[in-house]
Amino acid sequence: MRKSLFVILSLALAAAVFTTVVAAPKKGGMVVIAELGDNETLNPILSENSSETEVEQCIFSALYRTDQDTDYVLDLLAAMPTQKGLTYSYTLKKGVLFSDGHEVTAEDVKFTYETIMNPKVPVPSRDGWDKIKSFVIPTVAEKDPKTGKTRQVPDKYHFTITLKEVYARYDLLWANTFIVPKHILEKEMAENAAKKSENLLEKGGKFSRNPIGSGPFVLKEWKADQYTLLERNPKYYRAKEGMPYLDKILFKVIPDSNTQLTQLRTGEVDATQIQPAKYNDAMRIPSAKVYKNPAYIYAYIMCNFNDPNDLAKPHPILSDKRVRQALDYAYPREMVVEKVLENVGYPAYSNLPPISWAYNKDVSKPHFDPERAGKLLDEAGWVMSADGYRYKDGKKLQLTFYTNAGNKTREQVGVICQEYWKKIGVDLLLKYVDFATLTGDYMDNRKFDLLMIAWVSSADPDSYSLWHSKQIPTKENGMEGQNYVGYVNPEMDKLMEDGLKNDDKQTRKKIYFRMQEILAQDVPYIFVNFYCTVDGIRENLMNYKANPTLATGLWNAYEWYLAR
Amino acid sequence: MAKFILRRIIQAIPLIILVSIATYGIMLLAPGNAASLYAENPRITGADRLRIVKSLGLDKPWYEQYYYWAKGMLRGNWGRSFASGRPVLQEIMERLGATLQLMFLAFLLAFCSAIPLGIISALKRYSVLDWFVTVGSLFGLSIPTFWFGLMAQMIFAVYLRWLPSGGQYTIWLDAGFLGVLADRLKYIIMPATVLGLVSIAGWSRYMRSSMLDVLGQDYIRTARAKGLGERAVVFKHALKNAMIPVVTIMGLELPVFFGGAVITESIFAWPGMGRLFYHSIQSRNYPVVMGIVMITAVLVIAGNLLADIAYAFLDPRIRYDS
Repeated sequence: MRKSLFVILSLALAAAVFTTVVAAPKKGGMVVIAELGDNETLNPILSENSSETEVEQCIFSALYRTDQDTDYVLDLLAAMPTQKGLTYSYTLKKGVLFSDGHEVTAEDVKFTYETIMNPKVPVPSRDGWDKIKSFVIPTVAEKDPKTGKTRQVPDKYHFTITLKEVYARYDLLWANTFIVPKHILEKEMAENAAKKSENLLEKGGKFSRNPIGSGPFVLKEWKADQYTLLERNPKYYRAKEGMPYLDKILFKVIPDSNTQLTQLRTGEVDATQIQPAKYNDAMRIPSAKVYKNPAYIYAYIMCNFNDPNDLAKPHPILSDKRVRQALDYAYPREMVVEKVLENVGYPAYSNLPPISWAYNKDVSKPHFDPERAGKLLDEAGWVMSADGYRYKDGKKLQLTFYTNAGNKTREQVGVICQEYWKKIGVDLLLKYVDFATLTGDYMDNRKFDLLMIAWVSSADPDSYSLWHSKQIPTKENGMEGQNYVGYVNPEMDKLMEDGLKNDDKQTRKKIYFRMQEILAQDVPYIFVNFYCTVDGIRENLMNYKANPTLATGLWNAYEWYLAR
Repeated sequence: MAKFILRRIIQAIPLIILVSIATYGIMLLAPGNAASLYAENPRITGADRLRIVKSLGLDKPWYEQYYYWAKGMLRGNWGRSFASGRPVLQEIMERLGATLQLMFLAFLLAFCSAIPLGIISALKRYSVLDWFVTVGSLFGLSIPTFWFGLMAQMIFAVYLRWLPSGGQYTIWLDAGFLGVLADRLKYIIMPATVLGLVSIAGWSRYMRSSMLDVLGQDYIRTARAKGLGERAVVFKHALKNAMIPVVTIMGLELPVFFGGAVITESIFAWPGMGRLFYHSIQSRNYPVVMGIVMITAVLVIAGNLLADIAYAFLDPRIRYDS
């Protein structure tokens, strides 16, 4: 009995030791990541492109981040904020240092907020930040070591933020917003003010090229248009736990997606994004794992409610709901995803993807029905004629479809629409232009009948700027909003306003469910597909967790390690 | 000769000014602007993009913008890139070296391959070798650079693992001078060959037909009749004259190297100006586009001037002094 107990115990001990040794992340090594473009700036306040966001994930810290399931993961905060009415109270971790040794305090968080709101700083977007009414850092009593007197100093680890009104997307504002060092940036801003520069912070400025953050890595070298090399930050607040495990991360600029895939194959890079069309190719690389990740990006065709030649008038063809519904019924959504996208992506029925918590699956059903489409057009007064097209009051049912040349998928969708809509008597003209022209001219000036493009969405279902009648961009309102189709519906207006004014998840869920029902009826957009991003990762890179939010796949680089 | 060169340089100035006005005007006529690329992000509204446009001074009329740009250029300030905010001159200079290296090597490879191939083809007309060179040329002229580059990458980098698939050098290489040179050669040889391929094909054909033309001339028959060896006939007399049209073609094709470099640089991740140029046009990054156009214009004019000077050495009948 004792002997067998001894054997069992030793086996158990051996197993425990073995698994710890095997499972413990190995320290060291370098990971090479391919980027399609170079960073323009590494100052997160001025940043917008995704290549630089990936690098900044490694250099900086935020109050908290979104993980792969879009839950919040604490970074600089000791705990998630407590909320009383419109006031949120925050507590920072103690002893977190920037890589130059300065401690990260509430002053740095306040400075980050104030810099974003500063009109003389060319921030790409202030969306949502203007809902903050006040940022208060309380004072605490501190004993001056020299004089022994007590004085009031700003609290280093606590602060409160009060909003002007309930704003449902407030939490997401701070997620992935990087905190910058006040002591460095205020010097640069003062220098630029003294020089009477147009902007207090520039993309080409000192901090942009030499960022200092509190993240797991520091910038070692940045060779423009070639590579960005990061090294372990010895002062990282989780260094005691051994993190980051990697010694270095190298971001290599490889501007061609075919070359990126080739380099993944040869081993010259360890991680890269892959074009969805190359998914099957990539699966055949033995030393790499390929991840297909649903994303918050969707492609769609927008239908102009107004006449592109005179925006004051309704569109002669598309302002009739039945015509839009007909186009939607005759569009082969599922076939396109299967044949054109080869199932890397999935059909879209509204602007919320299945991974969203507000996704309404009852209205997201395949409904390809060209017969019904034909009947709707008959009802709308468009009569089929001998030449195969429909006419009404002598006018032909002719529409122009705009999208950007060079995007193979969109070009193909245009041709498919032409073919399928011809069967119901619609004459579709295709016009493909370069991207900057498409957005800067046709979209901004609303000079289209139908326009296909994609939105990069966020984890929050709010769609105020898309559907609210006050969000139709015109020169008069300073181009505010993204309601390029000119959709006006008082019920939708109220839903969008309520969706933002409420922060109760259940209430909002009902609101956005109703939104999706209305969208299925009114068809301001013909939704095409949700994207999947495809990533190829070296099979010995552990702890990579694909992330569909703005946090990017680099959000947890601090816990990556190489198994061999 | 010196007066000739000076005259040409002076003539070049109004040409460059014309090029700059035309390029600037055409660029600004194209719809869209530097902020248009943000359009797919709903968090960046049209209002934000308008703000960006104003901050870059893009809402002013095109001649006003041109005036400020030209004024700056004359003072040596080439402006700042809309994308990175850094001085345009710095951005270009960082990449110019890489492009020139690639172009120079491609040119050298093309020259050293095309001329001998053309000569041999002409001397051994209708032979098997001539047939191979002709078919090879057609092949080289027909293949798109893009496809050839990818194929070369597949064969040499992926299957044979002889050469790296992209980049300019090994980043953490620690070797002596010869080691670094060997490393650099490893990276540049594929892109240079791909870039030079079209020129090898074209120039060898020109060389062949020009050589044939010259070899049929009277003075060649005279030289042979005089009893001169074939070698002397070909290299001392025929070649120099046959080179004249070929040199013309080389001078005219100089811009092709700049343009072809865009595709080659993208495939082989070569950090040159071509890539920067293509990307800047797409993103309407006017200061960078203008900077590169100016430099390219100057280099093309200089290249053609060199070609003209070369004539004087090749053909004693050509003299530029009055």
